[in-house]
Amino acid sequence: MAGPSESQAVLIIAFGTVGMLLMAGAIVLFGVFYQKKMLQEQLQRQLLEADHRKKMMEAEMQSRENERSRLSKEIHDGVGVMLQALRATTLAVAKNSSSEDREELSQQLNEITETVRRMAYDLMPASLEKFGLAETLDELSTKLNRYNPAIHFAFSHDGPARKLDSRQQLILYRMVQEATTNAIRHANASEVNITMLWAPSLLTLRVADNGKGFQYPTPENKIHGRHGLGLYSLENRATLLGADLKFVSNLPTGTLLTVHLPLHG
Amino acid sequence: MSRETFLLISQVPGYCLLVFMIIVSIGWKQRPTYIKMLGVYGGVSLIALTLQFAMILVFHVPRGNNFVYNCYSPFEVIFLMSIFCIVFDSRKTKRIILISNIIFFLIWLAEVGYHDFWSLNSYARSVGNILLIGVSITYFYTLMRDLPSQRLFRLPMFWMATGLLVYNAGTFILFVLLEYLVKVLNNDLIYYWTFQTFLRMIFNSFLIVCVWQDLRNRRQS
Repeated sequence: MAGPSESQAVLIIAFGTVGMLLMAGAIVLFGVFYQKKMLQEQLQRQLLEADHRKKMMEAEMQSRENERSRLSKEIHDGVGVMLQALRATTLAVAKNSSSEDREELSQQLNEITETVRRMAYDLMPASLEKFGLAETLDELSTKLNRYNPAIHFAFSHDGPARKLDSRQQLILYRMVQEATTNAIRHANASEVNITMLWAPSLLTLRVADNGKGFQYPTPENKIHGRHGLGLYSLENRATLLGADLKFVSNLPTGTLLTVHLPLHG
Repeated sequence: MSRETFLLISQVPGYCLLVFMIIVSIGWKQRPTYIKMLGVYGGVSLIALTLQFAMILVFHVPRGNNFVYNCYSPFEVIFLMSIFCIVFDSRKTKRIILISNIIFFLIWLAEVGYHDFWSLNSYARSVGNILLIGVSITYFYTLMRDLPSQRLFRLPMFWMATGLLVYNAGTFILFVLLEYLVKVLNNDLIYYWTFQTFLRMIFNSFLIVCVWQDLRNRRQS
């Protein structure tokens, strides 16, 4: 059987080679565009997931705050009033007891009332809605000084204050509450400074202590560890707020927590 | 096209290899194994190309360049396949590459045994083309399956696989029909071989991008 003629061979080579090169080009281009498309889809999915997570966190936080607010009111208006009534009745009943006993009873009742008031305040400070964040933080620092005599809490604020919405105020308040609790429980600090700095488009909130500092946790203990839970909650709150959260822990000279909240409008 | 022009064009892939060797030698110790292997491949390719020219221009050995090419050809296919063997994680793929290498070597032995070292043995090379096309496509498939977050253009192996795919797809038909073309076209073959040289130049340029990209990634990380 005769082979192909010269021109046929040329045509076979030309078409075959062009076909093969087109196939090679198509494979490479398909790979590039497929990866680009898939990565875009992946990114979109991640954004949707993050958005969903944020909404879930927000709903969870909202329901927790509502519950706290309800409990705070219940304690303040219910238990507090009942305690006052109990105090009056007990002192009336103990009219015939010795003055020392009455004094002791009165002191114990005062302590219980104070504790209940503090619990109500911790759950939801009434001043936050009435007077704003700066006053509430000042009040918090005064209360912390009273309850933790070994630590000196100081609050200061600087710059032209801007109006924050109640959600922002509450989240920032909770963050400071968390940071000061950490300083009391774990840092072994003798001084804690809370600072609020107002700039035209940025609020900087700082909580600095002179304690022993801490090792920033790994992703594992960030979620499951005892210390990690507090940090996790701080990070979540910062995410909800759209704020930038930074920790500087200079082992062993203390911890500085900084929250940068961009202010719009 | 004159013989001189043809020889001049044929040197261009060699210059590309020279540039490749210079770039691959930068930070050699820190280079990953597959890039080092690519460096060795580049070095051997450069030596083979130089020997081919030496056979024609210096030693004037008739068909001496065929002898060099017949020795270099199995090295090229087996070595490039082995580079992919390192890159792939799957044991199954590694085993397939190993078996393919053995089969290719046996085919090459059979062809060289049937003809001799001084003829242009291209059938084994065609099989090599198919294997290298297959391994490149497998690499692209792996990329699509694993979806690296990095852009594909930043992956050194992407450039190597692209170069291999283009070169082997472009020269496959040529190698399949090479024996026939030698008999029928005689002097006109240089046009077709120039096309092969052109694709080889593209492949070598892609190798340069591959090692440069690796260097860039290394410096940025």
